[in-house]
Amino acid sequence: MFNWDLLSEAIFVGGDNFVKMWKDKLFLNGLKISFIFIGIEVPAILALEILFAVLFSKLGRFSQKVYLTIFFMPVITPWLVVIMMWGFIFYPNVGLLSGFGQLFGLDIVSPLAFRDTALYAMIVMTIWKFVGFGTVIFLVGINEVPAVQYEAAIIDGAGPWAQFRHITLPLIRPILLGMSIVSFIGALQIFEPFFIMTRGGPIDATRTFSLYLYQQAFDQLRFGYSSAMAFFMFILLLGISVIQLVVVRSRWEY
Amino acid sequence: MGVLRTNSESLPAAEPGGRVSQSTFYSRTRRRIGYWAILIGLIPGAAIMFIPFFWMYISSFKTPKEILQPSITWLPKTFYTAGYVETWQEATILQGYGNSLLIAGVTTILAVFTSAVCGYVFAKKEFAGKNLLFIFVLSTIMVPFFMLFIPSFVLYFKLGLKNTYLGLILPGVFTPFGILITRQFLHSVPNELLDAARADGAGDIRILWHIIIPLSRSVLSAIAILSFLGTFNDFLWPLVMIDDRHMFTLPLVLRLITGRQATREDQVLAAAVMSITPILIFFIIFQRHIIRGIALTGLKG
Repeated sequence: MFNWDLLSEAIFVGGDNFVKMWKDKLFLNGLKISFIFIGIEVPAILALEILFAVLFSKLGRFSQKVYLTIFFMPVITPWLVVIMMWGFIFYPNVGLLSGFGQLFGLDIVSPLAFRDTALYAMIVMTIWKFVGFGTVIFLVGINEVPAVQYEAAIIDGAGPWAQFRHITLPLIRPILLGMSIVSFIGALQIFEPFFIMTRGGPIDATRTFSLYLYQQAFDQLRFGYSSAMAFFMFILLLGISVIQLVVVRSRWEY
Repeated sequence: MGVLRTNSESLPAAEPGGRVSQSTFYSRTRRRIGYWAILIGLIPGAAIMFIPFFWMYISSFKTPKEILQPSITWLPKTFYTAGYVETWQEATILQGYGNSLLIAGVTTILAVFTSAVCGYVFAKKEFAGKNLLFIFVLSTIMVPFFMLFIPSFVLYFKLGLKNTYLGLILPGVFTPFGILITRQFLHSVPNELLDAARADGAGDIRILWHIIIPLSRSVLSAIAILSFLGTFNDFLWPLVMIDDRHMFTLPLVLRLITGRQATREDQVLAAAVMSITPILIFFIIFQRHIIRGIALTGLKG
């Protein structure tokens, strides 16, 4: 609520910053980009995490350990190294991705070079990095389900899908709720790939909310404005979390 | 592997008489086939997870020219190590490692200590305003990082903590999440045990050191792992706090190397390999504990 560049005294400007936000095209663009990112990344990663957790739960001790280790490697890898690796994957013309494209006769330049694809490339990279984390958490949840329940279901003639839909899913519901909120907030705060890899480009196509917030504060030195954006997002998140809680509770209550 | 047990062996394989019945035999065969189908079906998934690592390691031994060839070469034609040598000689990587280890190490020790102490106090002590204080701690979990980011930056700036190790360590010292899960865990410790210790003349510090900390080892090690990984890999906070190159943490050093004017691909890859290898070795050795720790906290949270 202040006009403040950190060195001079803060000037109280009341609600001006909040009004300014709605006229700021880049802020609205950042919101849009962030919500597209979240809207695709969160459901996709949750679905993949549950899928892998279900498959892993069917494995033996050793194979499960091997797969878990591989899937967990990106989680402990710092973002900077992930960005380096994927930088080479997305490298124009000579990257791994265009190399694979050539095997199938496709001519892939680089997904990061185009406004339409850059954000999706970021989504894929983010999913790659974090999918192992949720898989572990869902796997523990699935292993908590008593084996007797599945045995009873098999005797009743339930196939794999029916078992999943009527036993596994209801029982991991609390974890799903927690993970959906955690992934949501996490996705909103992802910063490094946009800051280092795309720098918001091409033409603002990946200038997310969090990147814009950082740039306003530390490049433009508009700390007051930036704080107003953060505060706005906090209120929005609080609202969304409450809605998520209510929706998930009411839809799946038995 | 400890908590992550599987259900696959739990079906009864034989009839009470000891003979394998026809139907169980078929269902067992079907399970076998399903098992192998899943095992093999997961290979492409694992390959996608693994290939970037594999390619990074292989390519770090390629010449800069070979790295940027249009066609994929899996094995390097020549064994090229100049990228490593040059990156090593610059020594910024080593310095970055040192800084990161120092900061993450100190933060982790302090975070585990505060979690144990606060968890103990919240679980086993009575004092006025305890619940209010605990709600206050809980509410800080709900506030996302970016909300506090600018206010904390301004605060640390005004306190003169910019470009100090203290400025990087302090934010991670109190983890409300750690306090919460330690408290939940210590609720299950019977009061009689503590009373007995007290009757034997042990004070709070002895109880903490000889009973609470050993008992909650599993929870505390999970907190230690999460806190260490979080601090070690953090980028944004060091980015705004540190301008002095001698104090750069590992992620900042890596950014320096990738962000250079004439980027040398071989050096970038060598730097990436050098920074990640110790982490991966550490992870593979303590894999069981790390995954269990994450699972434990995930279920609580």
